[in-house]
Amino acid sequence: MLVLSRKLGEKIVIDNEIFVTILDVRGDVVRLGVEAPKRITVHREEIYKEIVTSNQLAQQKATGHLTVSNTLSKVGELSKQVTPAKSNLNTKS
Amino acid sequence: MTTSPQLRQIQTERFGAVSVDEASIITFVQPILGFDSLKEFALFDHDDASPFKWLQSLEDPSLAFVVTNPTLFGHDYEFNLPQEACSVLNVQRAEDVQVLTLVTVPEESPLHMTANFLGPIIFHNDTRHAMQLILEDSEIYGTKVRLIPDEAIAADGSIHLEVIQSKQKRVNS
Repeated sequence: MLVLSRKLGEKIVIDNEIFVTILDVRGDVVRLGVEAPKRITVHREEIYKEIVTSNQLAQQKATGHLTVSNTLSKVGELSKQVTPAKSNLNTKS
Repeated sequence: MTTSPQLRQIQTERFGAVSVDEASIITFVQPILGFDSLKEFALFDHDDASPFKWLQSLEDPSLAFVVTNPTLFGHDYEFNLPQEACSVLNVQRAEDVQVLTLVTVPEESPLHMTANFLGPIIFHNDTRHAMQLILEDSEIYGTKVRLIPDEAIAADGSIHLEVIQSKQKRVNS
């Protein structure tokens, strides 16, 4: 692993296009600013891992398909009796 | 002028050989995490008017996810679409996109199905470009939110509709 020392306000550059700035250091909490092109995604590691695990559990196996399919059909009866969903989103952020 | 749809023949393990309209194919511009190599998916209704859909990989015939919109189960599921996501998917208005959550259905107790609220799939209705969004800054959403609460499941495994309907009314009021 590459280890670099940086002072407050200083940056590192990764692959010519990703800039990481040390914004704040308070006790054992470091705030980082990341500037990167849109196609680069940046996540907190623990959240990233949680999503990957959840996605893997969600992937359906063809073996259990019938049970799952029957349950979905049974639960699906609900939707004929409920009101349509309103929008989930606000685009103002 | 109307053009006839361009159909693509795909192979799936569950649904056999299916023709899908090219224009309906969903392309992930940012991946479903952990499935980074899979870009193209088709969305099938489970059956008419079902709250569930199947997100079927076009690159892996065996891979499919069950997806739904949790508001159909009376969940108050709302978030701000971050600026970066708007620009990645070229979203102008909230109506441009659809929101779906991945559903995990445990084989031994399928009614205890959960939805991943933390990492919703969003896609643009017109371009069909999609991404898995991670709601980094929201504290309230988990990856294992029960869609059907215990109190809505009867001892014999049937579902008390009225429990879900009353949740629905609360959310929509």
